[in-house]
Amino acid sequence: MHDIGGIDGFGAVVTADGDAIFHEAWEPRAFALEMITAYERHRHDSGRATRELMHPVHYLSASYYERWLWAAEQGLLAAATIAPGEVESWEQRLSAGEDAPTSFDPAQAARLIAAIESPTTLPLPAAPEFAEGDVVRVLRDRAPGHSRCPRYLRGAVGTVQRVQCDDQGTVYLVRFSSLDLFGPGPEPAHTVLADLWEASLEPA
Amino acid sequence: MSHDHDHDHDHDHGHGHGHDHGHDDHHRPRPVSAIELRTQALEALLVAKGLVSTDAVDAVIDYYATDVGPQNGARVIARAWSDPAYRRRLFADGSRAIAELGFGGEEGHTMVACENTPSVHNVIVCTLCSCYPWPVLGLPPSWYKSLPYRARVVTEPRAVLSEFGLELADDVEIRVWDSTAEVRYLVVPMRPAGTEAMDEDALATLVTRDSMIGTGRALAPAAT
Repeated sequence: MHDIGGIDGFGAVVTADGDAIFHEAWEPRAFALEMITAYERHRHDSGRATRELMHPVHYLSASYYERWLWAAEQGLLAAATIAPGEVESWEQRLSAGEDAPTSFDPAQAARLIAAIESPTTLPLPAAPEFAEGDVVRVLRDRAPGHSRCPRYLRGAVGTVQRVQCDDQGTVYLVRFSSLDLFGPGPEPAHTVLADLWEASLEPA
Repeated sequence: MSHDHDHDHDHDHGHGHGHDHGHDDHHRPRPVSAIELRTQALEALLVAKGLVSTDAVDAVIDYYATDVGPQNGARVIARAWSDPAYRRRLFADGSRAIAELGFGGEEGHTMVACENTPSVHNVIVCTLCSCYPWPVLGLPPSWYKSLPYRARVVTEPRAVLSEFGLELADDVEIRVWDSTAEVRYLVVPMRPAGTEAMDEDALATLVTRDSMIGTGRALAPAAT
């Protein structure tokens, strides 16, 4: 359900409370728990890939950081860092009035901030299949799993504008015309650029 | 089901559970939502297991509340407006040029700067989630993460920009960047007219978060 580019009916973008980063006190804590459990390797999944597995009804109804919390829990369960029922058990204990435990570990805090700030230089592509200026077609087939290829680009023809690497290998910045993606509409044509992995592309 | 847990929302809770609720520091018991309780329970579980420390959670929150945010991106833009050599470096290798000012790391390892000109206007989105250049802009505002923005800005950017009060002439090419992978994009807005005498510090005050996402322009200098 995460793949929502081009879907109609969601309404206005600009709303009264739309400018805030967090709205409720639990949200930054959920965010931090997701970050820390990933950096400390208490789970081994990509939070992004896990969030893509949410049931569509849950995805659409959940608030943003609810998705993060859900994915962190799934990752912790999958890594067997936590066991089924343990979160529910703490819900019952806190509801019954038990104080939540606290701990102090300045070394963990310092280690995390250092890791967050630490730059990673991605390698240059080893043997890219396509070069800048090549005309490519996005595969029509839906790649299973974590493809990071939006539905609205499938089958479209575009031009490679930049070749680079990310953690999944070679990624191409591909330029498309809105006319090729959506046809003519009420607005003048515009350009859409997206980063696509090599496995999503073929020569056009 | 929208939740994998079914919880009574109406019980009293919140008295002395060891969490720092910041500005929301009530002294009388108040109802806790299901998701708030779930978050507290997961934190309690991880603390009890010795895997996560309370001060590490606070440190991560403080870092994103104070150390990163659009003030960082504004420094980059003000430098690019003031220093032609820096501007060239920024467009040639965004990550390295931004690192010159001390910014980088999580969600900003590979940065590309997108140049607004009188004939080209850039706007950034992540239709698949909410990828956003944290080191220079901080964490994203709600609207950036919202379903309407992610769904609509690729198909009808002018209508969306119009909601932000940004009207562009028909002959301006709009480029919508869908940050689907690990590359992160920063819009370099046009330098406003009447700022020729301003130094970098003054220029940075004109650079808004939205101008670096592409849903706004840099501010005009205040009339003096």
